[in-house]
Amino acid sequence: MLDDSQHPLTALDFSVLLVLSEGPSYGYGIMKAVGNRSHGGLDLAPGNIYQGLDRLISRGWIRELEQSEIPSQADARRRYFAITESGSRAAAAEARRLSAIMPAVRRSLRGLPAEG
Amino acid sequence: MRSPGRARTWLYRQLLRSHPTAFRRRYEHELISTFTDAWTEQIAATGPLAELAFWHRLVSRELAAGLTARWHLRRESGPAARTPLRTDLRLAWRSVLRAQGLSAVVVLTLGLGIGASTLVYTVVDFTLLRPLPYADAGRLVRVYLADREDPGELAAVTGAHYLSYRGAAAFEVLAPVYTMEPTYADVSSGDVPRRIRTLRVGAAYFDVLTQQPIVGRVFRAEEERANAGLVVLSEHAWHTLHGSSVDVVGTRIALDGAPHEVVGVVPSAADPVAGTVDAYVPLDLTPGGVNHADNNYLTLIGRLARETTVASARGALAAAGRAVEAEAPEAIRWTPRIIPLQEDVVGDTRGLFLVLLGAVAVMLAIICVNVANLFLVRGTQRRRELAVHMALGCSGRTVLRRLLMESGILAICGGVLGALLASWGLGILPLLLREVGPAHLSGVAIDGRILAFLLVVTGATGLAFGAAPALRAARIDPATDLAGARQSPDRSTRRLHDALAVVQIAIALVLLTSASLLLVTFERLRAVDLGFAVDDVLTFSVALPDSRYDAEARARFHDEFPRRLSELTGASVGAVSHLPTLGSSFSWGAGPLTGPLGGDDRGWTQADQRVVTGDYFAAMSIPVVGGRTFSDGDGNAAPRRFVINRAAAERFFPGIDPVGQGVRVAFLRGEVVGVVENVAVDVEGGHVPEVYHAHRQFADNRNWILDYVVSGTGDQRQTLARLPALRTALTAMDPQLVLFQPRPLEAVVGRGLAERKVALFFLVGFAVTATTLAVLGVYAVLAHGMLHRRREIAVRLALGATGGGVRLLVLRRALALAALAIGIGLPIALAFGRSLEFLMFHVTAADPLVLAGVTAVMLGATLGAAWPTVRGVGRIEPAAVLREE
Repeated sequence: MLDDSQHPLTALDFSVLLVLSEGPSYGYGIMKAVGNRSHGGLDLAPGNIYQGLDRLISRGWIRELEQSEIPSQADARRRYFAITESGSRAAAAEARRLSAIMPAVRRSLRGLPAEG
Repeated sequence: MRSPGRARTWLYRQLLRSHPTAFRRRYEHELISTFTDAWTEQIAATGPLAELAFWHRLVSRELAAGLTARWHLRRESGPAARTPLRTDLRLAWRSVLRAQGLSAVVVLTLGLGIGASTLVYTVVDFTLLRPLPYADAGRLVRVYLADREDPGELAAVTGAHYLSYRGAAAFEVLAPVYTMEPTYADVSSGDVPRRIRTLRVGAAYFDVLTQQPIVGRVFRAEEERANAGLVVLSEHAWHTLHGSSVDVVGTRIALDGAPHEVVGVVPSAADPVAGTVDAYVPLDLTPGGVNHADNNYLTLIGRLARETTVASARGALAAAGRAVEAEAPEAIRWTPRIIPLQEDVVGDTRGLFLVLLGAVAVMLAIICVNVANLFLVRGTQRRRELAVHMALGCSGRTVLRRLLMESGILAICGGVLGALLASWGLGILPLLLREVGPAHLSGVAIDGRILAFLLVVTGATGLAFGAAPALRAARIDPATDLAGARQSPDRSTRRLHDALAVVQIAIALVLLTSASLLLVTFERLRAVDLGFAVDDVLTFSVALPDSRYDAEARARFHDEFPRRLSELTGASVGAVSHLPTLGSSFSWGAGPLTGPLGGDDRGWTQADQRVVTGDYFAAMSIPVVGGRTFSDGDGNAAPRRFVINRAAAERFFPGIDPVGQGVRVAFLRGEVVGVVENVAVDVEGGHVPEVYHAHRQFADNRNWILDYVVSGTGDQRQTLARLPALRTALTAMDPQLVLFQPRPLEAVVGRGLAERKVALFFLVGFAVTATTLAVLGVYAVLAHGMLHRRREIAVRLALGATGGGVRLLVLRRALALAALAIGIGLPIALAFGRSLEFLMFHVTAADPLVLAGVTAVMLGATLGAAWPTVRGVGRIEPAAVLREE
């Protein structure tokens, strides 16, 4: 059986992990960052984001910050999420998996015009 | 920064319901705050289009996310985790979708029925059930004076009576208002003069209706005098005339050319008697003058003191009135009468609304019966399916519940459709009821109360049409039903089907009869000879302000203006103080001075007084029977002359030529110069003795507001196209005058038909719906019955019966149903028709032609409904049918 970290991640999960590896954030902050990162390719509703967060929490890849850990300039009413050790490892594994398949992808697409 | 607000948050919260419950509980707060952030940042500062796009995206994404999660959850947890209720709902929903055609028909008919009943209920609720839209409306009353000799006769209150009543402790406040006829004033604001609706009120009027001024103040008691030159504006008029500027108080506006100082603004509220008002001016309540004890012209409304009954208040007023009687003995004939304001306002329309409520209830009943019938028919077809369910361990209760859920789902869909239809109908209702409804009806809107009614009706219909079929289905015995798949329905089922069909035909008959009676009424009213040309005549009114026109100027104007219009258009143009068919006007005592009844009491009678100018009789095509109409020679310097109608001529001068005879009208004596044909005084074509005066001889009596009539071109559109030219001509005479309410004459004289039109509109609609439904119902019952008798018929045919013979069998059944239904329906139709008699004209509820016609129509409809089945039966091939077994 595969280890969790060896599953390919969904685009959403991967994006959320990448966003959080830059520092803790909250719902709308994550939603906006994911949207920016994908150049609008991931058009999400709040429900999508929280489903992703819920999934990542259950895998232990991210965790919710305690009240005391929340950055002082942040809005204390919001729930903040941060990436965990194993989350970082999963993101890194996914990055490796993607870069490993990239040469093959490039080879197959050689006939196509380069992306501008 | 703006937040999305409660409504949007609520909407989003509903959207979140698509997610699994556990997830939603865990993150609801966060989800909503994320939504709030997103809305605030992306949408708050943009327009509605961006918002629409935002919601479109949000709804589709959120629903997709939620439903997918649910689907995963269900797959993981397996069927065991589903609650039985949910399974039932799902099965019921599936079954509703499977029978698409049936479901669509059911939802449509239910929607129609629920929509119509909600609409009618809304009107009834607003007029009859809920208090008038004024604070503490239960204590509002109207005061009349009743004639001691003839207590049914109610008259307006005199100024003298009001002045003695107003201190009465039985009333918190009591105020007079002038509503005998609508009053208007021309306002010059901007470049075009406009006419606004005015109301003359006592200072206490605003206290009675608890109208607090928004700006400034209302009138004071010492301002209740003639030409006080003060005005209180309604909020609406303040908007349109002054752009809602707060420093309106103290400014002057010209009403009919006379300056009036604005003292305040009150919220726009309909007067209970007079309707929407733009501006209020003080009534002249100085003792004496017009306020003597013999001038009944005031409408008196008041608020009873707490714990005071109508009876004790009446006693108090009667006591207060003695002071008047002491000074003016003729006032002894009057005694006060107090009527709760709501009763007074609703008055005549009560009957109409109750009839409509009855009719709509009947229609709702027929819809329930019809749907029940459809379900029963379907239920029989589904016996096998249900029997399988039960054989597999489904209890009768479960089957019952599931079937009730099916009808519940359909009822809810019908309810939603009904609500949509009703809210659409409410948009056009005020137009429909404009001329009959109480004045405050324009504020009607769907609210919580109406929605509650809608809910109850929907639930009741769902139960009504769902229960009988469901109860029958729950009694299914799997053993017999599975054994004999083609078993025909038992006797009791068939009898139930028949009974429902009979009820439908009977109900349709009742509605059809009422609608026909009204149709006949309309036809008879239309056929009434009104005595003048109704079609293709244009009418409008012109009022001349006292401030700029004295009697002489008025006479000159109304001589000159018709002449100019006539030269301009080539049409006959005239004017009259009160158009025909709109009721009596200035009914004064009149009688002959000469002839056989000269000076005799027998010739003396009440006669309507009408003031005319121009070519009034020619413009209206009223024939001249003898003598001549007025001419330029009948001026102020000439002796007084009258034209009388045929009824007056026959009354005053039986057997002799009236022309040249002398007549006395109240205080006037003069000579008859001509006799004209009678014209209708009401829409039913009644006529009374009438005396016509030449305006130029009578302009000094009062400032007559004349209704102009311009004869037509023969083409209605061309006639209406003359309006701009007429307006220009009026402006040329006096740029500050208003050509008021220009419209075809038929629109004015048709007003008396308004109440009947409303009833007719609804009843015809209901009757057509009911008949259609009945035909459908009969068709379903017969077709279904035959489906189960195919075998029997095949056997008959095999044994030598002819095709004609079996067709007759079906026909006989249809006729039996129709005959029974007509037998039951006719007496009910008769009774229902009686309750409509107040709307009828020259026709009675027992009109044999109507009853025979309706019976024939229902018979024909039933046979028509049977026709497809009859044809089908004739085509049965006995060999094929018998082989199927």
